Amino acid sequence: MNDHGSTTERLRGVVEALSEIIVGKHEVIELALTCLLARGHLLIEDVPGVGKTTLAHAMARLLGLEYQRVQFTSDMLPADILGVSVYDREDGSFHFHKGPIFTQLLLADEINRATPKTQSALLEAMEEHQVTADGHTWPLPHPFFVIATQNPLHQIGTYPLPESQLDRFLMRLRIGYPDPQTERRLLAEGDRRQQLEELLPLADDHTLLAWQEEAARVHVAPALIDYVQALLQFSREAGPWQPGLSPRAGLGLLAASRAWALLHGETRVLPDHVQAVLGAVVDHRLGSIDGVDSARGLIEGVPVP
Amino acid sequence: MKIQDPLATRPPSPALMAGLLATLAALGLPHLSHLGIWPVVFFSGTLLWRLAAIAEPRILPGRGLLITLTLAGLGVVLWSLPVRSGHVAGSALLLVMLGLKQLESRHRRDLYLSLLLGHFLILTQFLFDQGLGFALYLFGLALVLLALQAGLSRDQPQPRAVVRSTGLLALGAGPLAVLLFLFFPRLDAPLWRIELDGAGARTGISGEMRLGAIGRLARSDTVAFRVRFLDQTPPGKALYWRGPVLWHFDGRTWWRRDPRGRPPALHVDPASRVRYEITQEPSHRRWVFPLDLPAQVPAPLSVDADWQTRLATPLHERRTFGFASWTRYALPVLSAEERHAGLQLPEAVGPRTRALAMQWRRAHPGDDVGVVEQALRFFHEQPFLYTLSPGVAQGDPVEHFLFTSRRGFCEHYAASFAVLMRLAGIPARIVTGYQGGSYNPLADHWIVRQSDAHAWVEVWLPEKGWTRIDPTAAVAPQRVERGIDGAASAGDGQVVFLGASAGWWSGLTREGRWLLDAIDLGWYRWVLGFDTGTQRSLLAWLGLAQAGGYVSALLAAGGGMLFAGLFWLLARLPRRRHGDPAQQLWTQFRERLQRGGLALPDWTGPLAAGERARARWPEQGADIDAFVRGYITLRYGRTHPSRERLRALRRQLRRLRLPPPAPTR
Repeated sequence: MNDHGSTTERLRGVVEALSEIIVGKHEVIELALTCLLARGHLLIEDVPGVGKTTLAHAMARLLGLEYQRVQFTSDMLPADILGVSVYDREDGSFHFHKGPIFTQLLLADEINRATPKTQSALLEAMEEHQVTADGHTWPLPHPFFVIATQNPLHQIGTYPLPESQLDRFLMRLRIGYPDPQTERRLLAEGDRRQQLEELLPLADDHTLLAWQEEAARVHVAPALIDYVQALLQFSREAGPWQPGLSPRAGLGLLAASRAWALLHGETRVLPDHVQAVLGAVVDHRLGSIDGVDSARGLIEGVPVP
Repeated sequence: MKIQDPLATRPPSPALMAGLLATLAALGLPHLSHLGIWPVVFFSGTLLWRLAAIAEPRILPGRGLLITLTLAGLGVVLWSLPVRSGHVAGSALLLVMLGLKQLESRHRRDLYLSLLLGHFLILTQFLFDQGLGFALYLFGLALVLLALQAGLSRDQPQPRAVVRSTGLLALGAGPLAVLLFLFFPRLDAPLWRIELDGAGARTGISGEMRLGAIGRLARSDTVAFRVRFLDQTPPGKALYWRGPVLWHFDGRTWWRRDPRGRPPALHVDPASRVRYEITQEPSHRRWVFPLDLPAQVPAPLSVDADWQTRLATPLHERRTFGFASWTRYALPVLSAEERHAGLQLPEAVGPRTRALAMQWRRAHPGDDVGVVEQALRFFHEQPFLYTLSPGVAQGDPVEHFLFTSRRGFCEHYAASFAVLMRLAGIPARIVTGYQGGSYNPLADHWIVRQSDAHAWVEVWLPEKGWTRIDPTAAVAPQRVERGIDGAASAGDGQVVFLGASAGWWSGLTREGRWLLDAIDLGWYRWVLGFDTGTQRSLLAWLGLAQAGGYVSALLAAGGGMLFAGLFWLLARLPRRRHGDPAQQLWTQFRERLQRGGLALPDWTGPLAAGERARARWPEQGADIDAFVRGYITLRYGRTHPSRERLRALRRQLRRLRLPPPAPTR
């Protein structure tokens, strides 16, 4: 078992290194890493060119993961992601050619450009952690982490993900434009993407699996369960949201809070940790009311017990 | 706050609900004797209904049925009770509505209201009965109500914790109750002094004598009154407690005349003056029974020409009066009206009775004393028997008693004696009251019971005036000397007078009775009888009486301030939540931050709160940090919060100094 201090220190190192590439987006980086530690999938929603792909690529490099990138288009078929069975003339049988999904970190770029059929093929594989074709089942590698990006929904030629599919992403993040000073630095110092190739991994897949396990073991006291339960109940009964948060959302919220606590050197989850990840975990599930994010209303509606 | 007490909206546990219903039943049932049967039946019905609903909640009535039931309950109260007696109808209304409340109790929070109303129900019981035993019973039930409340505020009540917090509640309330009892200004008409409209049973001397009436009383152990002699105690055979005087006789019933005017002149032996206090039990009548013959009676009482002592209004509560009496006296005056009334006879007097009286008269011509002595000898020598069950008289009761049955008790002897005297031309009247009593050495007072009820005769003798003659003493002198208390009833109702060497158990039970009696009188003297006057003398004793007439105003102001202070304290007390003690400390921490000028919303997490506090009081940063970390460890950590850790956390909190912000210029 890894010593907590060292795990946290090494995770801080990853955060620092990522901050060198994606400048001025410290919180987004921490949340993305939290999502990975909590074994959840990440949806990044933003306009093109703010660094979504760079973030995914950099995480793969730093954590020593196999990396695949799939650009979704409207003419894409499920087989283009999952793989296809091909007849081999030599031995007279079908062989399954694994698609790009068989990787440790998959970047599904502009997922909402694909048709719902293709989208759901990916999401089902994500959920079940395996691919089934021609009566055979092929497990996906460990760890397996999907970062999907999507353009804001008002763009032309998009198929918005249905709510049931959105629920499968642990978090949704927005990267946003850099603030003026950061942007000025970017413009002056040039594109950071070249540095990507020079990045040395700070971990490997085994380490990541160990970290994920450690995150899952972070202590959750009954008092904290009470708090999370009160939040879920509030979202269902008292808030303006229909429907409220699902039990899956509750489990995800707890997992994300544990990972966040580990990332911040805590040995137990505190309400502060829940509040820190709450926006990323629930906003895409509840939507926003009158332009105000749901998480805010939720946090302020439930007293910390 | 949106989610304050998660327990409040849950259904109560079956055990708690059943406990509440049982307690309410125990509280309400004594009202049976105060409010009549119907409100209590209604109340019991609703309780049983709710009890059944514990197992099957679907049988609880809906809104429509509930409204109908409410109207029905109101109807029961209005129909069965006179509205004019406000406290009766009011108590019944409370009882009925409390029962109905159970039918709409679905959540724990409903039970809190029922518990509170239960205490009110206790209060209404005191409107009707303030005896010590009953008070203890109600006090016990009040404790049960507290225990239920303690159980209600816990998710899983542990018996020990419930007992503990019940004890704490009671202990905390005790001193306050004593303080309020002693110092809260009393109204001159105490809370309990509500005039009852005579619905209760009436025991005691009735002012009329139908042969047989006192015989029933003779077996009643109920205390009529208690007497405390202040300087000397007269001998037992002088203890005649004078009540109504009866003149008119129609052959079966004796009744009073309407005595006009003031007591006539008398001669007294100044050395025989006795001072004493009578504590009269509520008799619902106006009679009071001073020692024969009253010399001095206190203000609300009056004495008439027959030396009967009466109150202006019936006595519905225990009261104490101070008296002085002459035990040796002479009443020399006989008015013409008295002579006429004292010789009145029914139209039909038994021929043997008349013959007997004539025979005595002829034997002692002009010698009334001789006739009286002859009569007493007659009772003493003929086989008369003192018994409490003389049987039903056939025909003329006097004739039947004198010549056929010869069995009877005081009123038979007194009535027959008076008739014989009148036949012989001697004016005679019957005096009813009590005779004797038993001395309680523990409380140093005499107890006169209903069983001491007695009747005797006064005859007018030319030399001595009105003279008390007790024919019963001629038959059963022990009845007069030792009192009926020293007598045991033999099988057929014949009374056997016991000597001093009765069985040890009878002595024990007698002493037990003395003890209970002493406690009861103490309860009355020191608790129920604590009125404005007693309060004033207590204040005088404390040196607080200088305010004179303003003392009430001062007391009222003091009481008001006491209450205001209590409310202020209560409002400032940290809002305690059940369960986690670490959390209580955290609540206190938050309140201290607020007093220091840092108001945090209730959704602030502990880390954020600590950070805000550190930013606000940088010098206290380390202490704040220590407390916050300690709290987090206890509340969110893996380790179970031990007593020592909690104590350490409490110390850390106490060490914190969070001064409010300096006023800005």
